[in-house]
This record gives sequence, C-alpha cells and structure tokens, in this order.
Amino acid sequence: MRERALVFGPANLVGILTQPDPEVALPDAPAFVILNSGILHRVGASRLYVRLARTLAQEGFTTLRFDFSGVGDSEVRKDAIPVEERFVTETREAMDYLTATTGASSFVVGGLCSGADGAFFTSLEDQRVVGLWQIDAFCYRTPGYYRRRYLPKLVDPRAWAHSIKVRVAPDAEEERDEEQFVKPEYRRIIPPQEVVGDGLGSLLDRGVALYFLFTDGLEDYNYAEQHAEAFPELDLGRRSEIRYIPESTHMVTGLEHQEVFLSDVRRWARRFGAARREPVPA
Amino acid sequence: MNPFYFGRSERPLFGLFTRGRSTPGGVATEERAVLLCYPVGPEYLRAHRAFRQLNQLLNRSGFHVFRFDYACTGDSAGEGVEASFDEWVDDVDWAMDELLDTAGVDSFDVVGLRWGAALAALAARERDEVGHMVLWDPVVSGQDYLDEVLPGGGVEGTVGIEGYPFTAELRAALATVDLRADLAEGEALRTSIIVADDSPDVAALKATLEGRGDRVTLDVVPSPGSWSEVDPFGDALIPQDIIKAIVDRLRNES
Repeated sequence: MRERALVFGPANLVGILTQPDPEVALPDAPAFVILNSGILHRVGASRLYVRLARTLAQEGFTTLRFDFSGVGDSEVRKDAIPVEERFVTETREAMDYLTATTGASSFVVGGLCSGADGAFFTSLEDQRVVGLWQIDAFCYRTPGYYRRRYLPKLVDPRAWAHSIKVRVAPDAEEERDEEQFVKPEYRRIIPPQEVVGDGLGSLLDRGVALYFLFTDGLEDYNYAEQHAEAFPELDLGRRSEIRYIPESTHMVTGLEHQEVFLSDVRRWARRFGAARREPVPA
Repeated sequence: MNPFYFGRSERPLFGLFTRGRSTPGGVATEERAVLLCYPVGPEYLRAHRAFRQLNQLLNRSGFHVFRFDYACTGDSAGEGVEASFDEWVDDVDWAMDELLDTAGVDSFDVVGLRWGAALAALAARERDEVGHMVLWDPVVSGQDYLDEVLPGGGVEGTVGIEGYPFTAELRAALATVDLRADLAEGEALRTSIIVADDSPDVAALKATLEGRGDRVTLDVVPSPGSWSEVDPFGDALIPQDIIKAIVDRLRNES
C-alpha cells in the first residue's frame, strides 16, 4: 500500500491518495472517493476514513479521500460556484483527477452524514458512479419507527416521569453547555422522501450498488428494516445492503462498531473486483 | 501549501508546510518558523480547525508553519493500536528537523496543545534550535489525564476513548508522564504557558520551568468549552481568544 499527499483540481483541494500494492491491484476496478463529514477533515470521524482507505487498498482498490474547499486543509474556493453545488462539483473534480492520474473510469463514492448526502447527489448526477455507501443517510420515519419509539414509553411509568420533568424544567446545565461550543457550519437539509426514493430508484436502475449503515445517533432511525420499509417499492432489503447498529453513535466511536463497518465494506467492495454495470434486479 | 510525507521510510508521517506572507502587519525582517503539535485521541479531531486557524494567522504574521500527524494518528502511517508515546516524542524530533530543512531556517518556535504541549516540551529538551515554546492547555500529568477520560479506571487491554484505541501499553506510558518532574532538566527556553483555566498543576509546571532557567510567562485566557468534552456530531472547538494570544506572544516576544 502507498499513500501520497496531494493538492489537485482547480480549487487546490488537499487529499490523500491510497493505492494498493501492484501485486494486489485490481485492473479496471472502480476507484473509491470518500467525502468529508461536516467540518471533520479527511481522516474522518474516529479516523474511520483512513482505516477504510487502507482496508480497500488491501482488497486492490485505489481511494482518494479529500477535503472540500473551506473544510480541513483545503482553502476556500475562489471561483463563482455556489456553495450548494460544491459537493457535487468537487467530488467530480476528484473523480476527474483520478481518471487523469490512475486511469480509473468508474467510481464508488460515500461518506458519513453530510458526506453521505454529497455522495448521493453526486451519484445521481454522474454516470461514472457504480457504487454508493452511506453512513446515516437521509432516513424517514415509518409506522414501525413510531411503534418502537413511543410504544415502550406508553407502558413505562419512568418514561412518563422523565417526560414531565423535561417539559417543566429544561436541564439548565445542558443548555449552558450547548451555548459554549462553536457550531458546525454545515446544516443538513433533508429532502422530501419521494425525492430520495426517486433517486435511489434511478440508481438501482443504473446498476449502482448500495450499502447503508445506520447508527443510533440519528433520532429518526430505530430499527434495521426501517430504510427498506420507508421505500417499499424499491425492495431495498433485497437490492441493497442495510446495516443497523443500535448501540452505535453517529460518529461510530465504538471500536467494535468500526470493525463491523470496515468488514462490511471490505466484503461489499469485492463485487467491484470485476467490471459490472447490470441493473440490480427489481 | 505543501502537504507531504516525511520521516522514517517504514512509517512515514504526514506534514503540511505553509509559507508566511509578508504583510504590513507581518514580521518581515527575518524568516521565522513555527512547529505546531496537535493533541491526540479525540482532541486531535476537535482541534484540527483551531490549528488551521492558528496556522493562517501565523502565516499572515509572516511565520512559516509546519504541522504534522504523529505516527498512528491522522494521515500518518500506522494503526491506532500500534501507537507509542516514545515514538511520538521521536516524531516531534523528526518534524523539527523537517521544519529546519523545509523552511531553511536555523531556529524555530513551537506550539503544542494538550498532549502536543507535553510532546513538544519533551522533544525540545534536547534541541538548541527552539526559540520560543508555547504550551497551550498542556497535559501536565498523564495520570490526571487518564483519570479524566477514563473515570473509575480499572480497565484492561485496549479501550476506546471516543473512537480512538488506547492500548494498555500506551496508557501505561502516558501515566508515567509528569511534566513537573520530566522538565526539571533540559535546554532553558523562552516559554509561554497559555491556558483557559488556571490550576495548581500549571503553576507547578511554571515553577519547574523557571527552576531550569526558562523565562516563563503564564497567561490565563478564559475560553468556553473543554478539550476533553466530546460533541456527538464532531463539532470543533475554536478558542479564538487563546489563538490570538498565542500569535501575539510569538509576534512580540521571540
């Protein structure tokens, strides 16, 4: 495995290129592009992106993890591209760079939280994307969510007591702490459910492979099948891989949870060892 | 901006070098350089944005700046479970050599935050090129740090601290660090201690450094937030007043 620090593209983005040893490199395999999560720089939460890139190199894949303009070590972009278009524009610039320097012609994109969002929108716009992985992707509450969220509390007197306390006396300590921290600049905007459903459907029709990891860090997700049940017409349970780790934080801070994710993606990535672009059967 | 790998070929370190700019308010009479030493564990991620800001302010003041990741952290080679405190001290030494070479200077200043302050101070004991050392919210006692991040103790093997593995060997090495004793001898420096909160530990550290001949100032710059607190969404901590105080100290007192 070889890692190289670089500055690339018209916006001078800072990234790390991780390449496999020549003897394990997969010819014609897609390259992986990993996107920032909020304001966290390219190493990722808990250094997860570093470990993912190295894991993928062991499997023969090249990976570029980089900082969007204004994030991590990349400078603020000076051209006129609107902020809302930078995710997609700069991810495509990363892919262009990989094509020019490594010859890669297809890509797998992914990230956590806002990185997941950027990867999703890039996948919709760029036909070179053949795989999408997301940690805590856009998700939507289902009847199953509400059943799990509220039913246990309806029958638990302790939950009632807590609810009343919170309502009449907000935790002053917690409020004060909230004010003390600098807030991230990224504000997540959740698209309408039908927009995401249409997008996922078009990706499946294109043969884009999908992997989702949901943690317990999102208030809107609370059971394994929720993502599939939110989009019943897509049959995501069969046509994608969905992992839910009920004990995991949003930042995947549990060491054992990190191993689950890395093991999942290692196995999931093996499908890209041979070129494939067939639609995922509906 | 120049990101690159340097150091040992078997375990390269990631570094980022940026040149100082000559501005009307900047230091233009001679080339000066600063080495920045990150904290470790979850505090590293939390501090990255603050280091970027400090880096930029120093560049604007005319300083060349080099910051880098210790082995087994950030973009540097090595897995978290392989991290070694002694190797980290050695990494600072490598980075000092790299800065001298890359910036083309004969001496430099160094700024370290939390464990980065401890590592910088320990590495600087043997270096005569260090001009001004800034210890920012330093970890004075390794045992006190562990008591804070692992309350109750009693753990064995590798434990995760907010997503970062700390092996038993690493924890044992951290526990032995006590700057009040470890810095009793070494090169006498111009040293600034800049902290958000005053404490007896910091006062004792100041006394230790004065005892070996350092010219020491202690600035208490009240600042919201704490390095050891963790935000569930990875929020950064950017203590603006402390960052400005560091730049002012380096600009005015070297």
